[in-house]
Amino acid sequence: METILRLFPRSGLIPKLWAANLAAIAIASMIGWFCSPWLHDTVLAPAGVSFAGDIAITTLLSMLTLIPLSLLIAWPFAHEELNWLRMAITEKEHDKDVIASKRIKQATLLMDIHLRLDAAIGSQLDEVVNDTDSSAIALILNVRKLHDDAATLLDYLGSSGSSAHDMEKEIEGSVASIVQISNFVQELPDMIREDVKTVQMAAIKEIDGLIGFIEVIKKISQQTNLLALNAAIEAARAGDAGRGFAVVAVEVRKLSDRSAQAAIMIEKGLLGAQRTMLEGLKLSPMDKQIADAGEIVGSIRELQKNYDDIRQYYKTLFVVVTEHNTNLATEIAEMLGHIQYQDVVRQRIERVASAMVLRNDLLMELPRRLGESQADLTELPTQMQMVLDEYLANEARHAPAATNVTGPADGLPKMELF
Amino acid sequence: MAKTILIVDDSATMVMSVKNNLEIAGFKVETAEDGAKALAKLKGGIKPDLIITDINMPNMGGMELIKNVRALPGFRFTPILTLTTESQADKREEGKKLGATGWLVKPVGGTDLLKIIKQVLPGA
Repeated sequence: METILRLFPRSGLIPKLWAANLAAIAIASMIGWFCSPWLHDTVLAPAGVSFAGDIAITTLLSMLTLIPLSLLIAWPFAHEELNWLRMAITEKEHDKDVIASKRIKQATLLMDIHLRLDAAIGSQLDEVVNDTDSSAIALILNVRKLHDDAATLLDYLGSSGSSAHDMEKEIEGSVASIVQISNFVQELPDMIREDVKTVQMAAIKEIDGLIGFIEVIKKISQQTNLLALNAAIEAARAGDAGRGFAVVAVEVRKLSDRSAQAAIMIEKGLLGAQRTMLEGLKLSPMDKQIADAGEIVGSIRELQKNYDDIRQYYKTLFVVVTEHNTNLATEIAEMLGHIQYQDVVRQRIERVASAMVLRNDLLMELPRRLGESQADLTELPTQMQMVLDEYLANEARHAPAATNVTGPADGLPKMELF
Repeated sequence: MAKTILIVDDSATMVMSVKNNLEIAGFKVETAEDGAKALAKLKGGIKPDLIITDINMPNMGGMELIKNVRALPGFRFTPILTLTTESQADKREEGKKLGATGWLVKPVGGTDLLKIIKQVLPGA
């Protein structure tokens, strides 16, 4: 009933049909009322039909009359209603087409936006991949430079250590020579002291001899002076004849004076030399030089010790820096390994992008097929499931990127030699 | 004398990463961005002591490269390591049958890579 009411929401056909039916019942009852005696008398009674059979046949005929009567009476009303119904159905079909068309258009628009969104996301992902690619390469180059700088530093330190070693060797050699000289200097005074004393004594003796000789010169000078004086007296006595001789006597006297003065000066110098010699022997001047030489030797040995310390420091420094450099090289190697994640992630994004293309191809089928009169969508979910299965299987073939630096991938060893 | 290693990968990041790692370790490194270019280099006279190749590459993939390299005179016993994101047993088996020496799954730590290289290149 509800279905019928839904079909004829505005027509009022149902009450009209009820009315027509009631009218038909009334007419049929009247026909039965008037025709049943005639039927009984003319047909049933002569045929020997019992009373019950008579009643049944009469009722049946009345009912049979009722149906065409009902249809006959209802037709004028039903005809109009059926026309209206036909129109309504046609209209509804038309509306359905319009709605379906609208929905297809909306679905197509939605898919178009969806594809554009996917394209935008894909573009962003491509950009991300390119950016990470560039960054990874820049990082690798920087890391390489870091390593090269560290290696250069190590070479420099090695070279410095070597230079320091060479320098220390040279200094060691020099120090040895200096120590040898110093020792010689230390021993030399002892060796020459006696010789110097001997020489000095000989010199003093010689000086003494010379001083004696000076005395002789002084006496000669005095005698010459006296002689010159006498000659001058005699020349004065001789008058003009002795005048020339007097000049010579004056000159001889001058010479005598100068000789005396020279002798005094020589004597003074020799006495000074003698005194110096004697004082020199008392003071032993080599002792101070020996002390100075000892200090120099001590300083040189201190310097040698300092260089030993420097060399040891360099050695230690070189060992420490070499160890750090080895660690640095290991860390750099590991870092370069980690950078490979960029490629792993890039490939994952590429696989996602491929799956998205397949998915979108299938989704684009949906509005297209909806537009068809005999749309069959049953295979689309199956095909979509295949896309999903293929994607998951493809992912399963690859190692999970973020979890296995050294561990096994999918139960298989990360590194395997056949 | 430094041993030569040929790296074959279409990813510049991968090539740079492995190349620098190996150069720092003292190896001489040659590179190619796919199997076809690698094969051309080998035919051109390069004689690496080891080949490290990716599997999924344009033009010529790693599997085909291994097959072609093994067919080249003088490369029958050259060690070939794959370095790939592929991890499944059937792929490994396929690589092994074609003549790969070992299977490495990306990413491989730098020191681990050097260790395995020293295993396939004794004295390196």
